[in-house]
Amino acid sequence: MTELHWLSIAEASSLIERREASPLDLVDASLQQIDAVGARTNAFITVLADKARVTARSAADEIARGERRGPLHGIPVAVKDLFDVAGVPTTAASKILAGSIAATDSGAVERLRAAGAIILGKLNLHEFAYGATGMDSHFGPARNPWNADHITGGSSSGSGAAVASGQCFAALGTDTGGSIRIPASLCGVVGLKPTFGRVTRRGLFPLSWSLDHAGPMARTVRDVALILQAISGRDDGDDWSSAEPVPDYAASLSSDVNGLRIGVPDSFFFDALDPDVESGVRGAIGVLEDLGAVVEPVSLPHIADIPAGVTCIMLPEALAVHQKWMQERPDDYSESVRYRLELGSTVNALSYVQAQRFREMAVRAWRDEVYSRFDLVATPATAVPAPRIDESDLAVTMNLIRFTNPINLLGAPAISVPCGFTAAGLPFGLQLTGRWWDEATVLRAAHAYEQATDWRERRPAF
Amino acid sequence: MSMDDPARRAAALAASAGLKLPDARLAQVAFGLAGVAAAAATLARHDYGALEPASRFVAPPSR
Repeated sequence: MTELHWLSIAEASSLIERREASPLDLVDASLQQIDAVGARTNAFITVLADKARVTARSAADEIARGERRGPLHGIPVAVKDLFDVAGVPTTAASKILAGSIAATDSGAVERLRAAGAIILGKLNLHEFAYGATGMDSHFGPARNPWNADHITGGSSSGSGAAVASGQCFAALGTDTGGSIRIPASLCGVVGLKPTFGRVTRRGLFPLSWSLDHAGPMARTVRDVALILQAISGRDDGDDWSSAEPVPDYAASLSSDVNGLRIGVPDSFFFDALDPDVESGVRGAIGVLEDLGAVVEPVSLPHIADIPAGVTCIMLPEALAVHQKWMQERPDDYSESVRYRLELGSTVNALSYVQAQRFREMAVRAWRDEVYSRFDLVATPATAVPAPRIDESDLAVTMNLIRFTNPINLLGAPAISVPCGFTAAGLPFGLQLTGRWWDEATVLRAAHAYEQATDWRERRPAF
Repeated sequence: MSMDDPARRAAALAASAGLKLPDARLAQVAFGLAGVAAAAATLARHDYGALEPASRFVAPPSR
């Protein structure tokens, strides 16, 4: 039998439902795995072992009374250390916030708890979520479970490492330019950036208001769907969260992809790819076609200019958050984050406004020219597998974000699902991007692909 | 140095946001400034419709 900590949420939940395992068994299995591999992955900043055990006992009592809340009840999950958890520090992996205790739960954590999930701890990240490598953390970088000489990707570095190494069943991450999808790709797990506004950001330390998204990471698409279900929907504490109806995501997974229209870009997303990544992604698209999807080339409007829009929005929005600390204690930032914040001062107001107008134009163009013809766009999530930790940060960062950050400007839902390994044994992901609010189709296609392949069966060797 | 000098310009822009750029950082930020300027130029090329639709004005009569 598979060890408990490697089960999917769906499998573990089924054991709980049948009383063949208890929430405490799952928490203890996760804690044992953290003990076993935690030091080598550095995925956690804070482990809430005692609190998790107390919550697990309480969950077991509720379930014994016949008050099981649903598939997440009793499941240990962890959150990027950017989400507030009441009574626990929210460090953002920074020196500046180290020791800052959150007064209340963030909206997403509140919803996870309401669904019965057990918060196991807070996960490492690139400082203030402002970097795609995960290398700059006040607590040291997380390490890739597949090869500790390689980065995890970021900024949700600990989320990717912890899920990939079985230290928790799922995690929350955030994604402003790819920070869920990049570590998902590089660590070999599933990561979903939902539609902008789908998931509350209340109690989440911001990076860039108009680009920030929160979302789930897990080992299977179904598990991502279960977490998304719990955290989606309008939150009156987040004015930018949407009241758009939330469908039953898990139910949508039962469908096939026959007749689904998938566009494959004729440029940009297939430029300068690692050869293993290119063959793996093209093979994955072929699998979807074999399953009945209709695959055709697509030209993506404004794609080459979208990164310029991201630049002129993210840089000043991030500095606006950090301006006071950058004036008073700039030396307390890591080199890479300080540099990006300083650059924020060089974007003038006109460029910021033009970038927001460009965003509206690009969204209209994708809606009218892409999503009128296609249900999904299929691309690599990253151009490369996990780079070595001693490679240049700036060059690595620019290469890592180039297929993910355009989607943040659009605000459309996008998933990275594992679709292969390089000859050196490093994973990489297929990115499927869908229509606004149509996470269900994104999940359905990713699930169909996942079920047709066996990448999810692989485990990193420690 | 004039404001055409990227390092001086970077320092001035940072100062406008209340940031002090030590000399050791000027070259790096000035280098990044070029990238920001290129992004801004890219965005400035587009017609965002303030004068749109383009068809609102008829072509001037030929003489």
